[in-house]
Amino acid sequence: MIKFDEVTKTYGKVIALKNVSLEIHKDEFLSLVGQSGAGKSTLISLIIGEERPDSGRILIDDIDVARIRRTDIPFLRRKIGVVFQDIKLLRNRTAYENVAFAMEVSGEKNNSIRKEVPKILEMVGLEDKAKAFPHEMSGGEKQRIAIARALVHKPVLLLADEPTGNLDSINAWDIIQLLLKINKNGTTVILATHAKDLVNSVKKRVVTIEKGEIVLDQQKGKYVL
Amino acid sequence: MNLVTVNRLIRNGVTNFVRNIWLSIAATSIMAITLFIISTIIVLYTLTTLSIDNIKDKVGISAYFNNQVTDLEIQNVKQELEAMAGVKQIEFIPKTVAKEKFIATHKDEPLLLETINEFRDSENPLPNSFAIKAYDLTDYSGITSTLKSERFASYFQKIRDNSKVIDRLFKITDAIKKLGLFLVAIFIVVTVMVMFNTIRLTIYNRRDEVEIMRLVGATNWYIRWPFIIEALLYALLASLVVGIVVFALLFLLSNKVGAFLSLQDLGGTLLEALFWKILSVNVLSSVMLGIIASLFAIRRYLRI
Repeated sequence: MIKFDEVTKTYGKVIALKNVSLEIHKDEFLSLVGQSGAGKSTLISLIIGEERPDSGRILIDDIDVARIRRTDIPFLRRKIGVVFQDIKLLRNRTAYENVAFAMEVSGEKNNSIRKEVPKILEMVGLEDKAKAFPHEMSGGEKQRIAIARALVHKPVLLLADEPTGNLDSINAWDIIQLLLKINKNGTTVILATHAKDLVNSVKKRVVTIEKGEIVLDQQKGKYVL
Repeated sequence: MNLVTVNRLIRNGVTNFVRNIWLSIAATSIMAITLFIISTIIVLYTLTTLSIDNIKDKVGISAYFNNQVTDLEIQNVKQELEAMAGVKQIEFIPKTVAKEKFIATHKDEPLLLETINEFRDSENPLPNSFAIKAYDLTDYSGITSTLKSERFASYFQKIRDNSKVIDRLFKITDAIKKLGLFLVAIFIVVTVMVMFNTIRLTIYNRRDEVEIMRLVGATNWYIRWPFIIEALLYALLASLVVGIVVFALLFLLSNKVGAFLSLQDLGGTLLEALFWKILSVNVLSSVMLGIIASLFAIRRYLRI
């Protein structure tokens, strides 16, 4: 469903990605590993149309993201959920409102918001935190809300960029379990991380990036760097 | 765009306005000042123009004949002057009529009446005269100089041309127009800058929200609209405030202003028309300024 075809991306003289070719299949769970600055985040930015490659093609279900019109990017992003290390919740809104926000901005009707948000909160196991503000929740809970928000559009693909970076190991493990559950329900998941233990315990496909190049691509792989 | 979305956009715009209430008040105030200046200029300009129209009819040249000029000469002069370009009408006012007019004008001044009545009809000191009207105000100076030229100078003892008054009024209107445009230009620039800056700050304050909106797939216009709505709120609120102030001032001061400019017909309909004109100019110009300022700020600072 996602295909990187000889993709190169540079920032000035710094080469972030160099001739990267990669294919990710539907329903796959892929861990993208590598040290900071290896190119993981660049790869994610390219998928959501945040950045454009210098050369090469990035196909998502036959749509070339590298050449997509700017006005079409919002619609692309409704098909892709994204979760970040710094969570990015709105501080002055409750958990419920944060999730509803994503539906509001894409023009969903009020009654479908009222119907869907509780379901998604239940899925991430936080139905009892609906009225809590971000400062009243733990790091793990906040990240679950961010995941819930990423899921409201029922995306075909979920991108998680270091989602456990700020969490302790128990919370981190919970988040990974949640991502696995989401994957099991039929959403393709790309997990960019440098959390070695987590990747190793997942036992799914692992793609290792180093200095902008893919150096290893293993089914049921391990973090080897 | 459906109704739910429009509703959300307006709500977001109002939130922008309320969250930075002091900045919003400042932006609205500066907009109101600009609108007030525009309104004042419209009022002044309308009133002076009205007043010019009003006294235009009273403008004319009075040319007083020397006593020894004969009736035949007067006839000839009249014919000659009537042939002149720009002359619309020449009315001959014989000295008898002049005396009657004098008596009518000064009927409450017994001393003057007594003096004039001292003279017998044959001794009437008031001269024969022409009352000359021109087609256009600009024609008067030409006619006056013709009357004073060698050809005619010997017939007349005095030429009175009151078109100078109008000239002065024209100069005043012109000055109002120039000063007004200058002030309006300055305040428009200041207003756009203040609004631009206010919206820039709102964009800065809402940067997290904007970022999340982008990530969850809000369209660019969905992100932009609340900032434009915020500017429109400044515009409409300022128009409303200035509208109320202008309305009150117009109707409270109308009598005094009417008397001052000797306008009899400064009635309700005229004021009403003037008020609606001012209101629509204010709304239109403020909305335009708001849109320009917000689009500039969005273009410059909103990364989407």
